[in-house]
Amino acid sequence: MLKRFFLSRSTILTLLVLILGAVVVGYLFPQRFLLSPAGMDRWELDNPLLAALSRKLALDHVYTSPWFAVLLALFLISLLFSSWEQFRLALRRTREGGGGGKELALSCSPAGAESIARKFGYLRVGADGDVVRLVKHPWGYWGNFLLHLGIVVAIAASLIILLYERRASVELVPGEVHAPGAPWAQQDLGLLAGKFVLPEAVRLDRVIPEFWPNGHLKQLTTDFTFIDQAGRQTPYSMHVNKTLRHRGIRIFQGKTFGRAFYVGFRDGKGGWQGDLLMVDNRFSGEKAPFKEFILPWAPATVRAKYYPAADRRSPVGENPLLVMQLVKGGKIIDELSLTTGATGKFAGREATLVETGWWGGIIFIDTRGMEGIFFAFVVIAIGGGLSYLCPPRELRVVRDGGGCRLTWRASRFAELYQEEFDRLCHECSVAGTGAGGRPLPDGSHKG
Amino acid sequence: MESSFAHITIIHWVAVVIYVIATIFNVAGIMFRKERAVSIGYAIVLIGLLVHGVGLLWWWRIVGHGPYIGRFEVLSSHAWAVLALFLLSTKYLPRIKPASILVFPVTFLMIAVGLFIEPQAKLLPPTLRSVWLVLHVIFYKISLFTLLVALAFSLFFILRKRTGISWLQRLPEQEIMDILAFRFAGFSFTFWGIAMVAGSIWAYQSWGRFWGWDPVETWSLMTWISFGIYLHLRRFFGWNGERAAYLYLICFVLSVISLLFTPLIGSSIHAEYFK
Repeated sequence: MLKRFFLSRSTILTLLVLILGAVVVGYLFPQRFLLSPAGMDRWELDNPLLAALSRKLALDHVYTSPWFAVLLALFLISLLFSSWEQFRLALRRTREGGGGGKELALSCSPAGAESIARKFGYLRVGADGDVVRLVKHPWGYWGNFLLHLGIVVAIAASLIILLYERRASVELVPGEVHAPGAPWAQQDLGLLAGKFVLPEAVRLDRVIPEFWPNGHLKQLTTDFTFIDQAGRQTPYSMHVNKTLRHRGIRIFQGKTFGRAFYVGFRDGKGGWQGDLLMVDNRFSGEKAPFKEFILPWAPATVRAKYYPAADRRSPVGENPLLVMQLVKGGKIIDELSLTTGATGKFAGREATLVETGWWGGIIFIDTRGMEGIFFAFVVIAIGGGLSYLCPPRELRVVRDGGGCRLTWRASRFAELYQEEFDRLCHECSVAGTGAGGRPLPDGSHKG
Repeated sequence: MESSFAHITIIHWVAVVIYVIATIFNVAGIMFRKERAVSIGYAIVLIGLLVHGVGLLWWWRIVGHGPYIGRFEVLSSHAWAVLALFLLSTKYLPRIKPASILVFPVTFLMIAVGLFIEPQAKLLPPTLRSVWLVLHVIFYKISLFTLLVALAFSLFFILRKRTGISWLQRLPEQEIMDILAFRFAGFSFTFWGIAMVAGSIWAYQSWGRFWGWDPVETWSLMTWISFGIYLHLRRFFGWNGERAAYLYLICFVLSVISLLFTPLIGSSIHAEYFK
C-alpha cells in the first residue's frame, strides 16, 4: 500500500511540482542566510504582510525549514522505491528481454541471420532450443536504474551534508592564533551538527596575494600552522582550489582577505589607543566600498577603505593609502587619509598609521557526504548516457522450417530504429536468396 | 593587443557571413527539396566552423584562458560547440538534419550578439582554474546543443499542426519529430544534471561549499526540475504531441534564462566573472 503510494506516478509528479514550487518560493522570498540582518529588517518593514507570512511558514529559510526537509525525504523515499523497481525491471529485461515487437519470416538460415545481426552490433545474450536472443546495447537496460540511483545518491548526500555539516571560518592577521573553542568569524552548522571546535590551535603565518596588472586577483596563498597541546607544529601552505586535510578536517582558502592597518590614536592627554582595521580587498577605483568599524572611544561610526597605491589610481601597489571617515547620522563629520608612518588629526585625536600587512581568511569544514556527490556525478553520467544513447534493441531468431522468423523490438524510441531493423531484414533476405532460398510469401509481417 | 582584437572581430564577422550564406543554401534546399543546395550549405557551414574555430583559438591564445568568462567568448564558444556537436551528431543521427533550420541561424545570431557586446579580455581569477569548471562549462554547452535540437522539433511540430506552410510537410513525420524532441529533451536533462553536479563540485573546491542557493544555482535547479516534470509527464502520463511541445517551450525559456541571463544578476557569485 505504502509502496504503491510512493510509486504512484501522481505522487512523484506532485512531489516534483511541490519541490519546484518550494525552490521558486525560496527564490522570491528573501532568505536569511543570503541577506544581511539589516537588509532583512528593511524588507520586513517594506512588506509587513509578506513578512508575517514568511515568518509563519518559514519562507525566510525555506531550505532549512522542517517542511522542506519532509518534502525532500518523501521525494527520496519515492525515488528509492522507483530505483528498486527500475533495478528489478533491468534485471528481468537483461535475463528475459521484453515481450512483443515486430515479426518477420525470412528464408535466411538462423545462423545466417545471427551472423548478420552481429554485424549490426547485436550480441548473443541467450539461446533456448531453436530460439536465439540477441540484443544491441544490452547494458542500456540499466540506464534508467542508474539515472535514478544517481539522483538518489545526490539527494541523500545533500541531505547528509545539510544535516551534519560543520563549517566555520577565521579571519586572522599574521602571527595571530585561533585557539580551539574561540569564537569563529562565521559559522554554518547543519541541523543535527554539534558544536564545531578545532582539535588544535591554528596560527596564520603569511598571506600572499598575487594580482594581475589591472588589480584583479591572480592567486591567493596562505601559510598557516596547526599547533597541538604539546606545542608540536604542523605547517601548511594552501591557495585557492588547493584544499588540505588535517585530522579529519578539510581546510579551504578563505574568500575574504585584505589589508590590515594598525592605527594608533593619541588623545589630548597623551593617552594611546591602538586599533586594528581589517579592510577587505575590493579595489574598484573611487567606488571601493567602505567597511564600518565600531571603535569604543570614537564619538561616531568609523568607516574605512583603502587604495592599493597612494596616488589613488594604480590598481596595484606596495604603499596603500588608508581613508578613514567619521560618520554620524549619515553625514561625514571628519576624514583622514594616511600612508604608513604618516600622522594626521582624526576624531579629535592624533592618528598614526603604524603598520600595514595582509590579513586572510581560512575555512574549516567537517563534513561527510561530499563523496556521495562525486559518486552521483559518475552514476548520473553513466545512467543518462546509457538511457538516451544506447536504448537496447532486441532480436529473437527462431528456426522456422528452412528459414527463420525474426522478432524485433526497441525498448525506447522504436520508431527511430525501425530503419535499422529494415536494413537487417533486407540483408537477411539477400543472404537467403543468395543461398538459394527465397523470402517467404508475404513476409508474414506482423509489425 | 588592440590590433589582435580587431583581427579576431573580423574573423568572427567573416564566420557570421559564411554561416548566413550556409543558412540560405540549407533553408532553400529544405524548402524546395534541393538536396544539392543542402549539401552545399553543409559544406559552407563546415568552412565557417573552421574559420570560427581559428578565431576562437586565437582569442584563447591572446587572453590565456578558455572561453568561459567574458560574454563575447562565452557566446562565441557556445555557437561553435553547438554547431560542431550538431554536425557530428548528424553523422550518427541523420534524422536530426532538419533541425539545422534553427541551429544554423542561432549560431550566427549568438556570435553577432557577442560581437555587439564587444570582445574584452578578462583575466582569470584563481577560482576558475579547476578541471571541474571545464567539465561544468562543457556539459552546459552540450546541453545547449540538445536543447536547441529539441526546440527545433517541438516548434516544427506546432507549426505544422497550426499552419498550412507547405514545405513543413517535407520534414519527418509528426510522430518522429515528437520522439526526437522527447529524446533530445532527455539528453538535455541528463547533461544539465551532470553540468550542475560538476559545478557543485567545483564550487566546493573553490569556496568550500557545494551549493549556496546562488541565483544561478537556483534557476539551474528550477530548470532541471522542470525538465524532470516534462519527461515524467511524457513517459508516464502519455503526454505527447502539441501539449508536450508547448510544455517544452516553457522549459526551454527557463533554460535560456538560466544559461544566459541569471549569471548577470548582481547578487550572484557568477556575476564577478561575467559583468
